[in-house]
Amino acid sequence: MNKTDLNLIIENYLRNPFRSFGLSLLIALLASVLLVGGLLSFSLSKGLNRLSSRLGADVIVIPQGSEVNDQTVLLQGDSKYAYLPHGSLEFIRGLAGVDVVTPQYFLTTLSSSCCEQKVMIIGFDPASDFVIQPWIHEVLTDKLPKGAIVVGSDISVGEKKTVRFFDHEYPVAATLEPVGNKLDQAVFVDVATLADIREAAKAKGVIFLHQDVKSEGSDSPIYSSVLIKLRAGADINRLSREIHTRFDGVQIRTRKDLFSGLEKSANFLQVVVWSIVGLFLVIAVAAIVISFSLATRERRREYALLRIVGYARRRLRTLVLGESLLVSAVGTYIGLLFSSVAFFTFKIWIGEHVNVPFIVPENAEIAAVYAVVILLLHSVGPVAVYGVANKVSKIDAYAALREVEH
Amino acid sequence: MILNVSNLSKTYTRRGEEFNAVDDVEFFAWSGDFSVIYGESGSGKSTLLSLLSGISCPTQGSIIFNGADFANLTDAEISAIRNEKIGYVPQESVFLPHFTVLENILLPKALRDGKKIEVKSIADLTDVDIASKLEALGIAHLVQEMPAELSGGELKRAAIARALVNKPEIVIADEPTSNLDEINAKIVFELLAEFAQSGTSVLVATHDPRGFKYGDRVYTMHKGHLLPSGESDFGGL
Repeated sequence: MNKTDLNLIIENYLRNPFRSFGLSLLIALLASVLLVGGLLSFSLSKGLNRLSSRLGADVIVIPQGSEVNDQTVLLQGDSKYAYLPHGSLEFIRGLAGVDVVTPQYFLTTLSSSCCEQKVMIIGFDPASDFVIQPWIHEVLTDKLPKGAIVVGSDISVGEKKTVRFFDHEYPVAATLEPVGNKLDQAVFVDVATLADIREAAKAKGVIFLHQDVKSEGSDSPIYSSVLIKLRAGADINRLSREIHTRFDGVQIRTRKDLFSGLEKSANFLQVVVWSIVGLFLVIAVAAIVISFSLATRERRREYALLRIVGYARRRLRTLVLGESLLVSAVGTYIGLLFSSVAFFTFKIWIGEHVNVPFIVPENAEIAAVYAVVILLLHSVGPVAVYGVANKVSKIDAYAALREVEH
Repeated sequence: MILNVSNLSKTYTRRGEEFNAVDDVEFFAWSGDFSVIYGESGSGKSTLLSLLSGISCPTQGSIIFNGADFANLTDAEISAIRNEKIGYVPQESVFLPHFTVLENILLPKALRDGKKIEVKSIADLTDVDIASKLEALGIAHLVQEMPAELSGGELKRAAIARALVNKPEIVIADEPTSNLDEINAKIVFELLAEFAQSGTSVLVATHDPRGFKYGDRVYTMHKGHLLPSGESDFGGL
């Protein structure tokens, strides 16, 4: 393609504004839907994958009556049920098929110096934990210093890199990567630090439920939940029966239970998103094919003229493909511009309203989505009109001129 | 010899029956020739000219242009010859509707040079020859208009200007005076004759007897056959 062809393509585009911009607008809509759909789909998959990989446990044992938030695998609901019976950890550890068990402790503060909203403090046992420490090691290679805490990505730590609880400053050793749910607003501490926080709370007159329970007379520690990693081939049903036989007041949830609902929601969203993308793709391709086919009929005289002045058949095809490429390109960039502004402006709102784990992809991943959208949409026009372009290249210029005349 | 045509035929099928629009035509053209093909509508003149310009492909026979046999050339090669060496004026006035008349006229030149059409007005024309042809054809003042704004006669003259813009070796004009009044028809024929005198071969198909007197050779086309008529047969018309 030389400057003459390029000139003709651009001028034809600009001098047929209604048709050109109309088609470009359609491509822009398709680009918007495709980009937002792609980023949304990517974000959902990423959120789900990260959450799944972070759970780490095959089974979670929680107090009867409490609920597990399937996005955070944290207890939620009425806090009066937020503890397990005494001795449950030791019992579970001794069951057949159990590889590792670790307890977790949850405290919820109504407010702190860091956040206006409620902050969940999650305590873990460094000796046995296999869930939270791997997350921490993603951002902190050293051991968690004594008295230090790790915070979710949405927790503000300020310049001093500390978080204040009950008039005590706790140094923040690391901020976790986002996971796209309420864990991003949680604080992670080891049991020793958790005990400090409890003491600080007690000094301020705040009594956590666990302390009430402990005061019933038992010295054995109580937990909010027990997470279990099973050996290969372990029988979950049997494990569940044994725990239920030994303890009333507990419920057992498997990773599959927890994620099935989330996966269903995420899959449904994906189906909706890609159905919309598919619908727009079909509409756009149909509109381009129809428009170019009709235009080709109207423009037979023009193509005949180009043959007369020396355009080869292959070059005519290039011209038609070039025009469709320009229509696609203009539409693509307009669409990407507007949809990018919309998506990145409202990504937080979207994340809060899709009700499944949602993580905006990394820059490189976003760039990859853009590259795919650009590549795909640049090819939509030329691929759609390839047949039309072939027809144009085979035009009988002499017959075309005479058809018009008669 | 610029053009050597032998045994040329073009067969079409109409209502299931084959007929020869061009039938076993022999034709030669030399530099500086002014050939006129006379014939009634439907005699095959336009079909013959479309074959000679490489726009259509013959069913049979050969067309040798400056020693190159069209049958041995690719479409791209024939198209390049048509762009650079053949100035074709179709019977129908056809233009790119969204480009000015001047842009349309300069299109073959831009195509030949591989450049965009940058000349927006006649004042920008650096080629004096093109400007003088536009003046001679009486359309210099119209070239910035859009084609839809010109009359049929004006468009015909613009089409002739477009055919001449690359200074072709042969001008093939199909009914170049069909929409022109007597004065303008005379201007066109004289310009083509002048072109022939400068060494360009000119081939005109017409049923306008006013063109006969300009022809060095005059042919008659009848039912696809091309018959040499000789100057004397039509000289008095």
